[in-house]
Amino acid sequence: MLFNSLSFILFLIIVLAIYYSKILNWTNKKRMLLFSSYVFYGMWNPPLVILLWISTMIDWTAGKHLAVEDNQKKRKMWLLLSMFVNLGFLGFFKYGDFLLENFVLVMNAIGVDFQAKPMDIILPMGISFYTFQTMSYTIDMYKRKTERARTFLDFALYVTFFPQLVAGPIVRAKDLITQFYEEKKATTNQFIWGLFLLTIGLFQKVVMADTLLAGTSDDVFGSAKLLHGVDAWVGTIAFSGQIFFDFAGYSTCAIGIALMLGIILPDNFRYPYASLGFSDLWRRWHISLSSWLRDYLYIPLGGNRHGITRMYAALMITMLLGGLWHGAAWTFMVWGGLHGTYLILERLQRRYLPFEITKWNGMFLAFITFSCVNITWVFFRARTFEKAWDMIKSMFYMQTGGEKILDTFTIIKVSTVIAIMFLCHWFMRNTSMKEVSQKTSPYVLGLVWAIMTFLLIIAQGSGEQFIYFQF
Amino acid sequence: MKLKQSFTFALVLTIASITIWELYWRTQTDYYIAYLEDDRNLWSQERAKVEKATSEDIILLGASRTGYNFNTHAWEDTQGIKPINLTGNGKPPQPFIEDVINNTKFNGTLVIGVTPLAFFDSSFRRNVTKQWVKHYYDRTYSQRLGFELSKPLKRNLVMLSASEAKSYNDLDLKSLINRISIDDDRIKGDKFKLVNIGYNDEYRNLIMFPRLTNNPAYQKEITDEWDKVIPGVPDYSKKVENTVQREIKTLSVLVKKFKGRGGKVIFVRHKAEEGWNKHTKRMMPRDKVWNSFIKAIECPGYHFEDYEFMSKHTLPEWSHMNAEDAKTYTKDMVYQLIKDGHLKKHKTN
Repeated sequence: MLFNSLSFILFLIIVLAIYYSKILNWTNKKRMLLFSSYVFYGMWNPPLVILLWISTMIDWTAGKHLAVEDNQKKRKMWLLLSMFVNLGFLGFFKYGDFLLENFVLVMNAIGVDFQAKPMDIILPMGISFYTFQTMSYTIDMYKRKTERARTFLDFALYVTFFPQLVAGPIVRAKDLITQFYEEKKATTNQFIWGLFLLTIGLFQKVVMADTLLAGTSDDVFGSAKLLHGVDAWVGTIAFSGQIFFDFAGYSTCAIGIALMLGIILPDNFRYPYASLGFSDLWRRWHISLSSWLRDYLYIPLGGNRHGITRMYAALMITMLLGGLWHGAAWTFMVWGGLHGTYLILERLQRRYLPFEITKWNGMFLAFITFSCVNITWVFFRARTFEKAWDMIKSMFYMQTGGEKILDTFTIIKVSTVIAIMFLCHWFMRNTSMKEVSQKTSPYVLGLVWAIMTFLLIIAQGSGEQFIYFQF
Repeated sequence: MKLKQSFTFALVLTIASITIWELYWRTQTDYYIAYLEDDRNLWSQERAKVEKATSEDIILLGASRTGYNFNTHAWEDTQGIKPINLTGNGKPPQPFIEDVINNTKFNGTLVIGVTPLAFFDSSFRRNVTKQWVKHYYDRTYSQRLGFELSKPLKRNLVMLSASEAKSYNDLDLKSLINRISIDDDRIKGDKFKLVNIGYNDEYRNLIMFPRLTNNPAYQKEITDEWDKVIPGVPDYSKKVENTVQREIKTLSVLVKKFKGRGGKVIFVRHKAEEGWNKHTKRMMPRDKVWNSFIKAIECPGYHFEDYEFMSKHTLPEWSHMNAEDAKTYTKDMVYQLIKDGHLKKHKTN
């Protein structure tokens, strides 16, 4: 089910009505939330709920044994079972065709005539999110960093909680399961603020991403022509804005919906396009994934504890795998590799060419960071290396005579939206929406809210899927 | 934070602004009407009927001319059976034909409208048609529920006038923004504006806006757009001939398969006027394309130049019939098909 659909609005109204009625006690409310979460997922493809059940059962069982088992060998076996099942699902459903395709390529390269029909495996929505979330539980249990969930219901709800099930934020067990132990009820202010966040999230998705930017990005990246530099840049920044509004929009909706139920989810984006460098970017972009990769990949790989070379290797491996997490294609690996390279270069700069960031050079640095990020998006968005390379050539005027496919109004529209987005991120980078709202007159806030709702309604979103659902 | 105040203020402003917005568009009666849009969901709802159709049933296929010119209610009044309307506005029918023949057991009658420039050119919008077929098979329960929930809203609110094609005169925010343009010739081309010329009922009959029937100014608005694109079609050539022959070959295989299980196929070439007729004749002359097609495909074919009832109506914008003429045309067509033994008359009310 998509947040930007009429069926979800009906679903949410029913869930909230039951949740706040007095007919159910807390345990039954949790059962209702769990059932609703399965309905939420099953409305897309019912049989794939079975994967969620298997993941839940395996990790619940593994967690139970990890909590009581002292034998280190057995503990490791339980952890490995959990990882084998979760990564196995991910490997089969998400990377099955990719692995097969590359296996055929390798075979052919070494002279073995081997052909295989693509398996055409359906990608379960949000599988990368819920497998990472549930794995974090067993890993934390193994490291004794978290306590075992008190009941199966609490654990199942943690794995399946519908607001963040299919596109995050990826929440750690200790942050979410513990909230299920006692009855939760949003205060009036929390409920209204949750509704406000839901409106902002939908506005970001439906108006900003789908209405104002997606068309340009699709036209540019879908074009088979070699493009003029301006068109290539405008298409790229349009995608840059589209993916931010799309994904941050989903996270904002998820946080808002959870808050309407009295459940608090962590922030997932903090104005990332005003980042001062790339370490800063990854503290602001998809925070729940970058902290997951840091805690469960970068640090276990050695982090910064074993010298500079090992640290750079760990950084690069983490970013490459982070790239692959986003999609089963080499272009995503290049995207991750570019970010890994940026992070390494940034550390080298800090070591050999340190400088102080002031309010004068800060905006310039943020702009440079944003521009470098845009280059990486080319590889993220392009379906082939040929297309990505054509775009890069156009963007850096390495070829002449590129074709103009965007009209002047579109160029002005996209540039204006992106410039406003960048400035908003810059002015908001050290504050939060809540802080700003607190300082704003209630009538101005109401006016902004009404404008967003009005535009949202007349946008008549056609229920476009969120980009991150495919990850 | 005084959130209650903000919420109340926002709610009042939203209700007020949406009401004003709706009332404004309700005054634009020449251009807008509240109706359930003919999108992939409505098409899928109609497509589902094929699964239970019998050999007595009829399926209408074709692009916008078939959609505007045939009226399934008039058809039912005349023959006694309401055809399943799988036409697609702006969509060449081949992917629909393939779907019905390859993916169903239907063995009734297919009545297929042919608009040569779209029908025989495999590069013309076939992917858009395929997306609808894909949607029929892939639509989720959530999408089905969403479609049902949208029905009362779309039936009653004019401001929801929008189409998947994103016509120039749609009322969704994207279309409204796209109306803005800066005429500086940055990109070359005809700057064709896809203007919506009608609406549809819930049986997917396309109905031309009444303003187009008698008002030359509105008619010119559309014919000017046609004039930007149709003259650009190439002359008949070896290349065109090869494309046409390839299509004929592909269709022949499909039709043979369909006839093999007892199905019947009838092809109809609807009338076109002025620019549409002139340039169609130039690119796909009748003797080289239509005649050759009907001969090869071995199915009954009805060309508007051969029947008085098919050519007697004036087309307000050179390509489609107005709603009243469509009813007469449909009845005449059904009578002719019954007379020629291609259809059987059933009891009518």
